[in-house]
Amino acid sequence: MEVKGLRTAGKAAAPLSASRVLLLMLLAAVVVFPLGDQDEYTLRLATNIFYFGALGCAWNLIGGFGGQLSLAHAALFALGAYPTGLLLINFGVTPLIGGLAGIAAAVVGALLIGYPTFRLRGPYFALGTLAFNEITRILLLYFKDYTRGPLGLIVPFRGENPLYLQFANPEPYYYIALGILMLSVYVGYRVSRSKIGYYLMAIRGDQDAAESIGVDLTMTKLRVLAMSAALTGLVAVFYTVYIAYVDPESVASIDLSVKIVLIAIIGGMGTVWGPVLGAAILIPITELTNAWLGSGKAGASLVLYAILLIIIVLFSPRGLIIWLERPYRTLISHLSGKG
Amino acid sequence: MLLNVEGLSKRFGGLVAVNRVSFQVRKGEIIGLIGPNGAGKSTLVNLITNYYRADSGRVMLDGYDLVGLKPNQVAQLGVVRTFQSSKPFMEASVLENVMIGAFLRTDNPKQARAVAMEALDLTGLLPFASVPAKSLTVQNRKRLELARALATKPKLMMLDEVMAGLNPREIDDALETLRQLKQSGLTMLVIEHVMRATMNISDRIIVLDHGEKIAEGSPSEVATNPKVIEAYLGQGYRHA
Repeated sequence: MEVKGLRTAGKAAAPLSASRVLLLMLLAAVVVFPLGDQDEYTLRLATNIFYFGALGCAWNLIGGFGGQLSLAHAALFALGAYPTGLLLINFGVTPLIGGLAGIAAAVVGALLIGYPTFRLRGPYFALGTLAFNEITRILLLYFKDYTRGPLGLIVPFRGENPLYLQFANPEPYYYIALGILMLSVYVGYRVSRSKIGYYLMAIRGDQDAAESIGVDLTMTKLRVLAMSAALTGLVAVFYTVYIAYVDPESVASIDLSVKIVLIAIIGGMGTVWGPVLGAAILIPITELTNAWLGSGKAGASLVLYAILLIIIVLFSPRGLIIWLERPYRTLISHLSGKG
Repeated sequence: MLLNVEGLSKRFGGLVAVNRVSFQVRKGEIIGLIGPNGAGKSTLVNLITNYYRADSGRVMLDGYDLVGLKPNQVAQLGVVRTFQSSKPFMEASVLENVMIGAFLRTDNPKQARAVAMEALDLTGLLPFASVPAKSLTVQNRKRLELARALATKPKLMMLDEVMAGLNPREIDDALETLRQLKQSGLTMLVIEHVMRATMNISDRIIVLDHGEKIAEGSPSEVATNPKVIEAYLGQGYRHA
Protein backbone atom coordinates (compact mmCIF):
# COMPACT_ATOMS: atom_id res chain seq x y z
CA MET A 1 0.00 0.00 0.00
CA GLU A 2 2.79 2.39 0.86
CA VAL A 3 4.59 1.70 -2.40
CA LYS A 4 1.38 2.26 -4.29
CA GLY A 5 0.86 5.56 -2.52
CA LEU A 6 4.36 6.67 -3.39
CA ARG A 7 3.87 5.70 -6.97
CA THR A 8 0.67 7.63 -7.42
CA ALA A 9 2.27 10.62 -5.71
CA GLY A 10 5.18 10.43 -8.14
CA LYS A 11 2.87 9.97 -11.09
CA ALA A 12 0.77 13.01 -10.31
CA ALA A 13 2.99 15.07 -12.63
CA ALA A 14 2.68 12.63 -15.52
CA PRO A 15 -0.63 13.11 -17.34
CA LEU A 16 -0.53 9.73 -19.15
CA SER A 17 -1.23 6.40 -17.53
CA ALA A 18 0.74 3.35 -18.61
CA SER A 19 -2.23 1.87 -20.46
CA ARG A 20 -2.63 5.06 -22.49
CA VAL A 21 1.05 5.11 -23.36
CA LEU A 22 0.75 1.53 -24.56
CA LEU A 23 -2.33 2.36 -26.61
CA LEU A 24 -0.60 5.35 -28.22
CA MET A 25 2.46 3.23 -29.01
CA LEU A 26 0.26 0.61 -30.65
CA LEU A 27 -1.58 3.28 -32.61
CA ALA A 28 1.69 4.91 -33.71
CA ALA A 29 2.94 1.55 -34.95
CA VAL A 30 -0.22 1.00 -36.98
CA VAL A 31 -0.09 4.53 -38.38
CA VAL A 32 3.54 4.34 -39.58
CA PHE A 33 3.18 0.75 -40.81
CA PRO A 34 2.33 1.64 -44.44
CA LEU A 35 5.32 3.98 -44.65
CA GLY A 36 7.59 0.94 -44.45
CA ASP A 37 7.02 0.25 -48.15
CA GLN A 38 4.65 -2.69 -47.66
CA ASP A 39 3.34 -4.60 -50.63
CA GLU A 40 -0.22 -4.02 -51.70
CA TYR A 41 -1.45 -7.41 -50.50
CA THR A 42 -0.31 -6.78 -46.93
CA LEU A 43 -1.97 -3.39 -46.83
CA ARG A 44 -5.20 -4.80 -48.21
CA LEU A 45 -5.14 -7.58 -45.64
CA ALA A 46 -4.65 -5.03 -42.85
CA THR A 47 -7.46 -2.91 -44.29
CA ASN A 48 -9.74 -5.96 -44.30
CA ILE A 49 -8.86 -6.65 -40.68
CA PHE A 50 -9.70 -3.06 -39.78
CA TYR A 51 -13.10 -2.91 -41.38
CA PHE A 52 -14.11 -6.38 -40.27
CA GLY A 53 -12.89 -5.46 -36.78
CA ALA A 54 -15.15 -2.41 -36.95
CA LEU A 55 -18.08 -4.63 -37.98
CA GLY A 56 -17.32 -6.92 -35.05
CA CYS A 57 -17.27 -3.91 -32.69
CA ALA A 58 -20.57 -2.68 -34.12
CA TRP A 59 -22.22 -6.08 -33.62
CA ASN A 60 -20.64 -6.39 -30.19
CA LEU A 61 -22.67 -3.41 -28.92
CA ILE A 62 -25.96 -5.28 -29.11
CA GLY A 63 -24.71 -8.86 -29.42
CA GLY A 64 -21.82 -8.81 -26.97
CA PHE A 65 -22.67 -6.21 -24.35
CA GLY A 66 -26.42 -6.79 -24.68
CA GLY A 67 -26.32 -10.55 -25.30
CA GLN A 68 -28.81 -10.24 -28.20
CA LEU A 69 -27.47 -12.59 -30.84
CA SER A 70 -28.38 -10.72 -33.99
CA LEU A 71 -27.95 -12.56 -37.27
CA ALA A 72 -29.33 -9.64 -39.25
CA HIS A 73 -26.17 -7.58 -39.43
CA ALA A 74 -25.46 -8.54 -43.02
CA ALA A 75 -28.87 -7.11 -43.90
CA LEU A 76 -27.96 -3.88 -42.11
CA PHE A 77 -24.68 -3.88 -44.00
CA ALA A 78 -26.53 -4.28 -47.30
CA LEU A 79 -28.89 -1.45 -46.35
CA GLY A 80 -25.84 0.75 -45.84
CA ALA A 81 -24.13 -0.32 -49.07
CA TYR A 82 -26.96 -0.28 -51.63
CA PRO A 83 -28.16 3.34 -51.24
CA THR A 84 -24.55 4.52 -51.31
CA GLY A 85 -23.77 2.53 -54.44
CA LEU A 86 -27.01 3.36 -56.25
CA LEU A 87 -26.76 7.09 -55.56
CA LEU A 88 -23.17 7.08 -56.79
CA ILE A 89 -23.81 5.04 -59.95
CA ASN A 90 -27.15 6.51 -60.99
CA PHE A 91 -26.78 10.11 -59.92
CA GLY A 92 -23.07 10.60 -59.36
CA VAL A 93 -23.65 11.49 -55.70
CA THR A 94 -20.43 11.32 -53.72
CA PRO A 95 -20.39 8.59 -51.06
CA LEU A 96 -19.64 11.33 -48.54
CA ILE A 97 -23.29 12.36 -48.99
CA GLY A 98 -24.80 9.15 -50.37
CA GLY A 99 -23.26 7.37 -47.41
CA LEU A 100 -25.47 9.37 -45.07
CA ALA A 101 -28.47 7.88 -46.86
CA GLY A 102 -26.89 4.45 -46.47
CA ILE A 103 -26.33 4.92 -42.75
CA ALA A 104 -29.86 6.26 -42.33
CA ALA A 105 -31.25 3.25 -44.22
CA ALA A 106 -29.30 0.88 -41.96
CA VAL A 107 -30.65 2.60 -38.84
CA VAL A 108 -34.25 2.59 -40.10
CA GLY A 109 -33.87 -1.05 -41.11
CA ALA A 110 -32.51 -1.88 -37.68
CA LEU A 111 -35.50 -0.29 -35.97
CA LEU A 112 -37.90 -2.18 -38.26
CA ILE A 113 -36.09 -5.43 -37.51
CA GLY A 114 -35.65 -4.74 -33.81
CA TYR A 115 -39.16 -3.66 -32.93
CA PRO A 116 -40.82 -7.02 -33.61
CA THR A 117 -37.84 -9.29 -32.86
CA PHE A 118 -36.87 -7.80 -29.50
CA ARG A 119 -39.98 -9.38 -28.03
CA LEU A 120 -38.33 -12.71 -28.72
CA ARG A 121 -35.79 -14.12 -26.34
CA GLY A 122 -32.77 -16.39 -26.67
CA PRO A 123 -32.64 -18.57 -29.78
CA TYR A 124 -35.98 -17.21 -31.00
CA PHE A 125 -34.44 -13.77 -31.32
CA ALA A 126 -31.51 -15.16 -33.30
CA LEU A 127 -33.94 -17.03 -35.60
CA GLY A 128 -36.13 -13.95 -36.03
CA THR A 129 -33.19 -11.83 -37.10
CA LEU A 130 -31.97 -14.60 -39.38
CA ALA A 131 -35.34 -14.51 -41.13
CA PHE A 132 -35.06 -10.75 -41.62
CA ASN A 133 -31.61 -11.23 -43.08
CA GLU A 134 -32.94 -13.70 -45.65
CA ILE A 135 -35.91 -11.47 -46.47
CA THR A 136 -33.56 -8.59 -47.17
CA ARG A 137 -31.36 -10.71 -49.42
CA ILE A 138 -34.32 -12.06 -51.34
CA LEU A 139 -35.86 -8.59 -51.76
CA LEU A 140 -32.55 -7.32 -53.16
CA LEU A 141 -32.66 -10.14 -55.71
CA TYR A 142 -36.36 -9.65 -56.44
CA PHE A 143 -36.35 -5.90 -57.14
CA LYS A 144 -33.73 -6.29 -59.84
CA ASP A 145 -34.98 -3.26 -61.77
CA TYR A 146 -33.60 -1.11 -58.98
CA THR A 147 -30.87 -3.26 -57.46
CA ARG A 148 -29.69 -5.08 -60.62
CA GLY A 149 -30.45 -8.30 -58.75
CA PRO A 150 -27.74 -10.96 -58.79
CA LEU A 151 -25.55 -8.89 -61.13
CA GLY A 152 -24.88 -6.45 -58.33
CA LEU A 153 -23.60 -2.89 -58.48
CA ILE A 154 -20.25 -2.14 -60.02
CA VAL A 155 -18.87 1.17 -58.83
CA PRO A 156 -16.82 2.62 -61.70
CA PHE A 157 -13.42 4.04 -60.93
CA ARG A 158 -13.30 7.65 -62.07
CA GLY A 159 -9.68 8.28 -61.26
CA GLU A 160 -8.14 9.44 -58.04
CA ASN A 161 -10.64 11.75 -56.33
CA PRO A 162 -10.71 12.22 -52.56
CA LEU A 163 -14.17 13.82 -52.77
CA TYR A 164 -15.48 10.52 -54.11
CA LEU A 165 -13.26 8.50 -51.77
CA GLN A 166 -11.59 6.95 -54.79
CA PHE A 167 -7.86 6.41 -54.65
CA ALA A 168 -5.35 4.65 -56.87
CA ASN A 169 -3.22 3.47 -53.95
CA PRO A 170 -4.21 1.26 -51.02
CA GLU A 171 -2.79 3.60 -48.35
CA PRO A 172 -5.75 6.02 -48.10
CA TYR A 173 -8.16 3.12 -47.70
CA TYR A 174 -5.92 1.71 -45.01
CA TYR A 175 -6.14 4.94 -43.04
CA ILE A 176 -9.87 5.40 -43.56
CA ALA A 177 -10.52 1.84 -42.35
CA LEU A 178 -8.23 2.43 -39.40
CA GLY A 179 -10.18 5.58 -38.52
CA ILE A 180 -13.50 3.71 -38.69
CA LEU A 181 -12.08 0.96 -36.50
CA MET A 182 -10.87 3.47 -33.92
CA LEU A 183 -14.28 5.13 -33.87
CA SER A 184 -15.96 1.75 -33.37
CA VAL A 185 -13.66 0.81 -30.52
CA TYR A 186 -14.22 4.20 -28.94
CA VAL A 187 -18.01 3.84 -29.14
CA GLY A 188 -17.74 0.43 -27.46
CA TYR A 189 -15.53 1.89 -24.76
CA ARG A 190 -17.96 4.74 -24.06
CA VAL A 191 -20.99 2.48 -24.06
CA SER A 192 -19.34 0.03 -21.65
CA ARG A 193 -18.73 2.80 -19.13
CA SER A 194 -22.08 4.54 -19.28
CA LYS A 195 -25.54 3.87 -17.93
CA ILE A 196 -26.65 2.19 -21.12
CA GLY A 197 -23.69 -0.20 -20.86
CA TYR A 198 -24.78 -1.22 -17.38
CA TYR A 199 -28.33 -1.67 -18.62
CA LEU A 200 -27.03 -3.91 -21.41
CA MET A 201 -25.20 -5.96 -18.79
CA ALA A 202 -28.50 -6.34 -16.96
CA ILE A 203 -30.35 -7.36 -20.13
CA ARG A 204 -27.67 -9.94 -20.89
CA GLY A 205 -27.93 -11.23 -17.32
CA ASP A 206 -31.68 -11.53 -16.75
CA GLN A 207 -34.35 -9.60 -18.59
CA ASP A 208 -37.09 -10.05 -15.97
CA ALA A 209 -34.82 -8.85 -13.19
CA ALA A 210 -33.65 -5.95 -15.34
CA GLU A 211 -37.23 -4.87 -15.93
CA SER A 212 -38.07 -5.12 -12.23
CA ILE A 213 -35.52 -2.44 -11.38
CA GLY A 214 -36.65 -0.09 -14.09
CA VAL A 215 -34.75 -1.06 -17.24
CA ASP A 216 -36.85 -0.32 -20.31
CA LEU A 217 -35.91 -3.43 -22.28
CA THR A 218 -37.23 -2.47 -25.69
CA MET A 219 -36.00 1.13 -25.64
CA THR A 220 -32.54 0.17 -24.44
CA LYS A 221 -32.16 -2.53 -27.06
CA LEU A 222 -33.52 -0.34 -29.86
CA ARG A 223 -31.18 2.53 -29.01
CA VAL A 224 -28.15 0.27 -28.95
CA LEU A 225 -29.19 -1.57 -32.10
CA ALA A 226 -29.53 1.81 -33.83
CA MET A 227 -25.97 2.70 -32.79
CA SER A 228 -24.78 -0.68 -33.94
CA ALA A 229 -26.55 -0.22 -37.28
CA ALA A 230 -25.09 3.25 -37.81
CA LEU A 231 -21.56 1.89 -37.40
CA THR A 232 -22.37 -1.11 -39.59
CA GLY A 233 -23.74 1.27 -42.22
CA LEU A 234 -20.59 3.38 -42.00
CA VAL A 235 -18.42 0.35 -42.69
CA ALA A 236 -20.73 -0.57 -45.58
CA VAL A 237 -20.24 2.88 -47.12
CA PHE A 238 -16.49 2.37 -46.95
CA TYR A 239 -16.83 -1.14 -48.38
CA THR A 240 -18.85 0.15 -51.32
CA VAL A 241 -16.06 2.45 -52.52
CA TYR A 242 -13.20 0.21 -51.44
CA ILE A 243 -14.36 -3.09 -52.97
CA ALA A 244 -16.37 -1.21 -55.62
CA TYR A 245 -18.70 -4.16 -56.04
CA VAL A 246 -21.91 -4.84 -54.12
CA ASP A 247 -24.14 -7.86 -54.70
CA PRO A 248 -26.67 -9.71 -52.53
CA GLU A 249 -24.47 -12.78 -52.09
CA SER A 250 -21.51 -10.89 -50.72
CA VAL A 251 -23.24 -8.21 -48.61
CA ALA A 252 -26.58 -9.70 -47.53
CA SER A 253 -25.79 -13.37 -47.10
CA ILE A 254 -26.01 -15.36 -43.89
CA ASP A 255 -22.35 -16.05 -44.48
CA LEU A 256 -21.49 -12.44 -43.71
CA SER A 257 -23.82 -12.31 -40.69
CA VAL A 258 -22.14 -15.38 -39.24
CA LYS A 259 -18.68 -14.02 -40.00
CA ILE A 260 -19.41 -10.80 -38.08
CA VAL A 261 -20.74 -12.72 -35.08
CA LEU A 262 -17.79 -15.07 -35.16
CA ILE A 263 -15.29 -12.20 -35.09
CA ALA A 264 -16.81 -11.01 -31.83
CA ILE A 265 -17.06 -14.51 -30.35
CA ILE A 266 -13.47 -15.46 -31.24
CA GLY A 267 -12.09 -12.26 -29.77
CA GLY A 268 -14.40 -12.01 -26.79
CA MET A 269 -18.04 -10.92 -26.68
CA GLY A 270 -18.83 -7.96 -24.49
CA THR A 271 -15.24 -6.73 -24.33
CA VAL A 272 -14.04 -3.48 -25.87
CA TRP A 273 -11.08 -4.96 -27.77
CA GLY A 274 -12.30 -8.52 -28.36
CA PRO A 275 -13.67 -7.97 -31.88
CA VAL A 276 -10.41 -6.33 -32.98
CA LEU A 277 -8.49 -9.40 -31.90
CA GLY A 278 -11.15 -11.62 -33.46
CA ALA A 279 -10.78 -9.90 -36.83
CA ALA A 280 -6.98 -10.05 -36.60
CA ILE A 281 -7.28 -13.81 -36.22
CA LEU A 282 -10.25 -14.73 -38.43
CA ILE A 283 -9.52 -12.58 -41.47
CA PRO A 284 -6.00 -13.93 -42.15
CA ILE A 285 -7.28 -17.48 -41.59
CA THR A 286 -10.08 -17.04 -44.13
CA GLU A 287 -7.62 -15.50 -46.60
CA LEU A 288 -5.35 -18.50 -46.23
CA THR A 289 -8.10 -21.08 -46.59
CA ASN A 290 -9.52 -19.22 -49.57
CA ALA A 291 -6.11 -19.44 -51.20
CA TRP A 292 -5.94 -23.14 -50.36
CA LEU A 293 -9.42 -24.27 -51.24
CA GLY A 294 -10.27 -21.58 -53.71
CA SER A 295 -13.07 -19.24 -52.72
CA GLY A 296 -15.23 -20.86 -55.40
CA LYS A 297 -16.07 -23.87 -53.26
CA ALA A 298 -19.44 -22.90 -51.83
CA GLY A 299 -19.82 -23.55 -48.12
CA ALA A 300 -16.11 -24.01 -47.43
CA SER A 301 -16.06 -20.84 -45.32
CA LEU A 302 -19.10 -21.99 -43.33
CA VAL A 303 -17.36 -25.26 -42.52
CA LEU A 304 -14.34 -23.31 -41.34
CA TYR A 305 -16.51 -21.00 -39.21
CA ALA A 306 -18.22 -23.98 -37.62
CA ILE A 307 -14.92 -25.61 -36.73
CA LEU A 308 -13.54 -22.39 -35.25
CA LEU A 309 -16.73 -21.81 -33.30
CA ILE A 310 -16.62 -25.30 -31.80
CA ILE A 311 -12.98 -24.87 -30.78
CA ILE A 312 -13.63 -21.52 -29.13
CA VAL A 313 -16.77 -22.61 -27.30
CA LEU A 314 -15.03 -25.72 -26.00
CA PHE A 315 -11.71 -24.27 -24.95
CA SER A 316 -12.14 -20.54 -24.40
CA PRO A 317 -15.82 -19.60 -24.29
CA ARG A 318 -15.06 -16.06 -23.20
CA GLY A 319 -12.99 -15.51 -26.32
CA LEU A 320 -9.28 -15.31 -26.91
CA ILE A 321 -8.85 -11.84 -25.44
CA ILE A 322 -8.74 -13.28 -21.93
CA TRP A 323 -5.38 -14.89 -22.78
CA LEU A 324 -3.98 -11.43 -23.37
CA GLU A 325 -5.23 -10.08 -20.07
CA ARG A 326 -2.40 -11.31 -17.87
CA PRO A 327 0.47 -10.39 -20.24
CA TYR A 328 -1.20 -7.00 -20.63
CA ARG A 329 -1.31 -6.42 -16.87
CA THR A 330 2.30 -7.52 -16.46
CA LEU A 331 3.33 -5.16 -19.21
CA ILE A 332 1.36 -2.29 -17.69
CA SER A 333 2.88 -2.81 -14.26
CA HIS A 334 6.36 -2.91 -15.82
CA LEU A 335 5.70 0.30 -17.70
CA SER A 336 4.29 1.98 -14.61
CA GLY A 337 7.29 0.81 -12.58
CA LYS A 338 9.69 2.43 -15.00
CA GLY A 339 7.55 5.56 -15.50
CA MET B 1 -52.65 5.62 1.41
CA LEU B 2 -49.65 4.45 -0.60
CA LEU B 3 -51.03 1.41 -2.39
CA ASN B 4 -54.64 0.60 -3.07
CA VAL B 5 -55.45 -2.79 -4.56
CA GLU B 6 -59.07 -3.17 -5.65
CA GLY B 7 -60.69 -6.43 -6.68
CA LEU B 8 -57.67 -7.88 -8.45
CA SER B 9 -58.36 -11.17 -10.28
CA LYS B 10 -56.29 -13.47 -12.44
CA ARG B 11 -57.33 -16.69 -14.08
CA PHE B 12 -55.01 -19.22 -15.73
CA GLY B 13 -57.25 -21.38 -17.89
CA GLY B 14 -59.71 -22.95 -15.46
CA LEU B 15 -57.71 -22.05 -12.37
CA VAL B 16 -58.52 -18.85 -10.52
CA ALA B 17 -55.09 -17.91 -9.15
CA VAL B 18 -56.18 -14.62 -7.59
CA ASN B 19 -59.84 -13.90 -6.90
CA ARG B 20 -61.05 -10.35 -6.23
CA VAL B 21 -58.34 -9.47 -3.77
CA SER B 22 -58.46 -5.99 -2.24
CA PHE B 23 -56.18 -4.45 0.34
CA GLN B 24 -54.43 -1.23 1.19
CA VAL B 25 -50.94 -0.33 2.28
CA ARG B 26 -50.19 2.81 4.28
CA LYS B 27 -46.90 4.66 4.16
CA GLY B 28 -44.25 3.23 6.47
CA GLU B 29 -46.07 -0.04 7.15
CA ILE B 30 -44.77 -3.54 6.84
CA ILE B 31 -47.47 -5.80 5.49
CA GLY B 32 -47.01 -9.54 5.73
CA LEU B 33 -48.53 -11.57 2.94
CA ILE B 34 -48.85 -15.23 3.85
CA GLY B 35 -50.67 -18.32 2.68
CA PRO B 36 -50.04 -21.95 1.86
CA ASN B 37 -48.28 -23.04 -1.32
CA GLY B 38 -50.24 -22.07 -4.40
CA ALA B 39 -52.34 -19.54 -2.52
CA GLY B 40 -51.54 -16.89 -5.15
CA LYS B 41 -48.98 -14.78 -3.27
CA SER B 42 -46.44 -14.55 -6.05
CA THR B 43 -49.15 -14.15 -8.65
CA LEU B 44 -50.42 -11.16 -6.68
CA VAL B 45 -46.96 -9.58 -6.79
CA ASN B 46 -46.73 -10.30 -10.51
CA LEU B 47 -50.09 -8.61 -10.99
CA ILE B 48 -49.23 -5.50 -8.98
CA THR B 49 -45.96 -5.05 -10.90
CA ASN B 50 -47.66 -5.90 -14.22
CA TYR B 51 -45.55 -8.96 -15.02
CA TYR B 52 -48.98 -10.49 -15.49
CA ARG B 53 -51.96 -8.61 -16.81
CA ALA B 54 -54.90 -8.68 -14.42
CA ASP B 55 -58.24 -9.93 -15.74
CA SER B 56 -60.04 -7.39 -13.59
CA GLY B 57 -59.46 -4.96 -10.77
CA ARG B 58 -56.98 -2.16 -10.45
CA VAL B 59 -53.96 -0.99 -8.52
CA MET B 60 -53.41 2.64 -7.48
CA LEU B 61 -50.10 3.95 -6.22
CA ASP B 62 -50.19 7.39 -4.63
CA GLY B 63 -53.10 8.22 -6.92
CA TYR B 64 -51.47 6.80 -10.08
CA ASP B 65 -53.26 4.00 -11.85
CA LEU B 66 -50.74 1.24 -12.51
CA VAL B 67 -52.96 -0.71 -14.89
CA GLY B 68 -51.43 -1.08 -18.36
CA LEU B 69 -47.96 0.11 -17.38
CA LYS B 70 -44.89 -1.96 -18.12
CA PRO B 71 -42.96 -3.45 -15.18
CA ASN B 72 -40.12 -0.96 -15.64
CA GLN B 73 -42.62 1.91 -15.51
CA VAL B 74 -44.03 0.52 -12.28
CA ALA B 75 -40.47 0.50 -10.91
CA GLN B 76 -40.02 4.07 -12.11
CA LEU B 77 -43.07 5.08 -10.06
CA GLY B 78 -41.49 3.50 -7.01
CA VAL B 79 -42.77 -0.06 -6.69
CA VAL B 80 -39.96 -2.54 -6.87
CA ARG B 81 -40.08 -6.28 -6.29
CA THR B 82 -37.60 -9.06 -5.69
CA PHE B 83 -37.91 -12.55 -7.11
CA GLN B 84 -38.63 -15.72 -5.19
CA SER B 85 -35.75 -17.42 -6.97
CA SER B 86 -33.10 -14.73 -6.86
CA LYS B 87 -32.01 -13.46 -10.25
CA PRO B 88 -28.63 -11.76 -9.98
CA PHE B 89 -26.86 -10.60 -13.13
CA MET B 90 -24.36 -13.44 -12.87
CA GLU B 91 -21.48 -12.12 -14.96
CA ALA B 92 -21.53 -8.71 -13.32
CA SER B 93 -19.91 -7.91 -10.01
CA VAL B 94 -22.00 -7.39 -6.88
CA LEU B 95 -21.37 -3.64 -7.07
CA GLU B 96 -22.33 -3.52 -10.75
CA ASN B 97 -25.54 -5.42 -9.99
CA VAL B 98 -26.58 -2.83 -7.44
CA MET B 99 -25.40 0.11 -9.57
CA ILE B 100 -27.85 -1.02 -12.26
CA GLY B 101 -30.62 -0.51 -9.71
CA ALA B 102 -29.25 2.90 -8.77
CA PHE B 103 -29.25 4.00 -12.43
CA LEU B 104 -33.03 4.24 -12.23
CA ARG B 105 -32.63 7.61 -10.47
CA THR B 106 -29.44 8.93 -12.06
CA ASP B 107 -27.53 8.84 -15.35
CA ASN B 108 -24.19 9.47 -13.68
CA PRO B 109 -22.02 6.38 -12.97
CA LYS B 110 -20.31 8.09 -10.02
CA GLN B 111 -23.61 8.87 -8.33
CA ALA B 112 -24.91 5.38 -9.09
CA ARG B 113 -21.80 3.94 -7.47
CA ALA B 114 -22.29 6.05 -4.34
CA VAL B 115 -25.93 4.99 -3.98
CA ALA B 116 -24.97 1.36 -4.61
CA MET B 117 -22.25 1.45 -1.95
CA GLU B 118 -24.82 2.72 0.54
CA ALA B 119 -27.19 -0.13 -0.29
CA LEU B 120 -24.35 -2.65 -0.03
CA ASP B 121 -23.45 -1.26 3.37
CA LEU B 122 -27.05 -1.56 4.59
CA THR B 123 -27.29 -5.17 3.49
CA GLY B 124 -23.87 -6.19 4.74
CA LEU B 125 -22.51 -6.90 1.25
CA LEU B 126 -19.77 -4.29 1.26
CA PRO B 127 -16.97 -6.88 1.61
CA PHE B 128 -18.26 -8.61 -1.54
CA ALA B 129 -18.56 -5.50 -3.72
CA SER B 130 -16.04 -6.54 -6.38
CA VAL B 131 -16.88 -10.26 -6.39
CA PRO B 132 -18.83 -11.69 -9.37
CA ALA B 133 -22.48 -12.20 -8.38
CA LYS B 134 -22.42 -15.85 -9.44
CA SER B 135 -19.93 -16.69 -6.66
CA LEU B 136 -22.27 -15.55 -3.87
CA THR B 137 -23.92 -17.96 -1.42
CA VAL B 138 -27.71 -18.32 -1.32
CA GLN B 139 -27.92 -15.99 1.65
CA ASN B 140 -25.86 -13.32 -0.05
CA ARG B 141 -27.80 -13.66 -3.28
CA LYS B 142 -30.95 -12.86 -1.32
CA ARG B 143 -29.17 -9.87 0.16
CA LEU B 144 -28.13 -8.82 -3.31
CA GLU B 145 -31.75 -8.90 -4.48
CA LEU B 146 -32.57 -6.65 -1.56
CA ALA B 147 -29.64 -4.28 -2.18
CA ARG B 148 -30.44 -3.98 -5.87
CA ALA B 149 -34.07 -3.17 -5.12
CA LEU B 150 -33.08 -0.67 -2.44
CA ALA B 151 -30.75 1.16 -4.82
CA THR B 152 -33.75 2.12 -6.95
CA LYS B 153 -34.95 4.26 -4.01
CA PRO B 154 -38.40 2.69 -3.96
CA LYS B 155 -41.53 3.91 -2.21
CA LEU B 156 -42.78 0.37 -1.81
CA MET B 157 -40.67 -2.73 -1.81
CA MET B 158 -42.26 -6.14 -2.31
CA LEU B 159 -40.05 -8.92 -1.05
CA ASP B 160 -40.96 -12.31 -2.44
CA GLU B 161 -39.63 -14.86 0.05
CA VAL B 162 -36.30 -13.19 0.72
CA MET B 163 -35.92 -15.45 3.76
CA ALA B 164 -36.71 -18.77 2.11
CA GLY B 165 -33.81 -21.16 2.27
CA LEU B 166 -32.02 -19.30 5.05
CA ASN B 167 -31.10 -20.86 8.39
CA PRO B 168 -32.52 -19.37 11.66
CA ARG B 169 -29.49 -17.18 12.30
CA GLU B 170 -29.51 -15.82 8.78
CA ILE B 171 -33.24 -15.13 9.16
CA ASP B 172 -32.52 -13.09 12.28
CA ASP B 173 -29.95 -11.09 10.32
CA ALA B 174 -32.44 -10.49 7.53
CA LEU B 175 -35.13 -9.41 10.00
CA GLU B 176 -32.72 -6.96 11.56
CA THR B 177 -32.04 -5.45 8.13
CA LEU B 178 -35.77 -5.13 7.44
CA ARG B 179 -36.29 -3.41 10.80
CA GLN B 180 -33.61 -0.89 9.95
CA LEU B 181 -35.25 -0.24 6.59
CA LYS B 182 -38.61 0.27 8.27
CA GLN B 183 -37.02 2.79 10.59
CA SER B 184 -35.73 4.70 7.60
CA GLY B 185 -39.38 5.01 6.52
CA LEU B 186 -39.56 2.41 3.77
CA THR B 187 -42.89 0.68 3.14
CA MET B 188 -42.70 -3.05 2.55
CA LEU B 189 -44.86 -5.94 1.52
CA VAL B 190 -43.19 -9.09 2.82
CA ILE B 191 -44.24 -12.39 1.33
CA GLU B 192 -43.02 -15.24 3.44
CA HIS B 193 -43.40 -18.86 4.19
CA VAL B 194 -41.41 -18.48 7.38
CA MET B 195 -44.18 -17.74 9.86
CA ARG B 196 -41.95 -16.58 12.67
CA ALA B 197 -40.40 -13.96 10.41
CA THR B 198 -43.70 -12.47 9.24
CA MET B 199 -45.31 -12.48 12.68
CA ASN B 200 -42.31 -10.71 14.08
CA ILE B 201 -42.03 -7.67 11.88
CA SER B 202 -45.40 -7.11 10.25
CA ASP B 203 -47.77 -4.34 11.31
CA ARG B 204 -50.56 -6.16 9.56
CA ILE B 205 -50.90 -9.53 7.94
CA ILE B 206 -52.94 -10.54 4.94
CA VAL B 207 -53.71 -14.21 4.47
CA LEU B 208 -54.41 -15.71 1.07
CA ASP B 209 -55.83 -19.15 0.41
CA HIS B 210 -56.84 -20.51 -3.00
CA GLY B 211 -56.46 -17.04 -4.45
CA GLU B 212 -58.80 -15.36 -1.98
CA LYS B 213 -58.10 -13.10 0.93
CA ILE B 214 -59.38 -15.00 3.94
CA ALA B 215 -58.10 -12.76 6.72
CA GLU B 216 -56.45 -9.46 7.45
CA GLY B 217 -55.35 -7.95 10.74
CA SER B 218 -52.63 -7.64 13.35
CA PRO B 219 -50.35 -10.67 13.73
CA SER B 220 -52.12 -11.79 16.89
CA GLU B 221 -55.58 -11.39 15.34
CA VAL B 222 -54.58 -13.41 12.32
CA ALA B 223 -52.89 -16.09 14.41
CA THR B 224 -56.10 -16.71 16.34
CA ASN B 225 -58.47 -16.47 13.38
CA PRO B 226 -60.12 -19.90 13.01
CA LYS B 227 -60.23 -19.65 9.20
CA VAL B 228 -56.50 -19.04 9.08
CA ILE B 229 -55.77 -21.85 11.49
CA GLU B 230 -57.83 -24.16 9.38
CA ALA B 231 -56.32 -23.11 6.06
CA TYR B 232 -52.76 -22.66 6.99
CA LEU B 233 -51.64 -22.67 10.59
CA GLY B 234 -53.57 -25.78 11.50
CA GLN B 235 -50.86 -28.23 10.66
CA GLY B 236 -48.14 -26.08 12.16
CA TYR B 237 -50.02 -25.80 15.43
CA ARG B 238 -50.60 -29.49 15.64
CA HIS B 239 -46.87 -30.08 15.43
CA ALA B 240 -46.07 -27.46 18.03
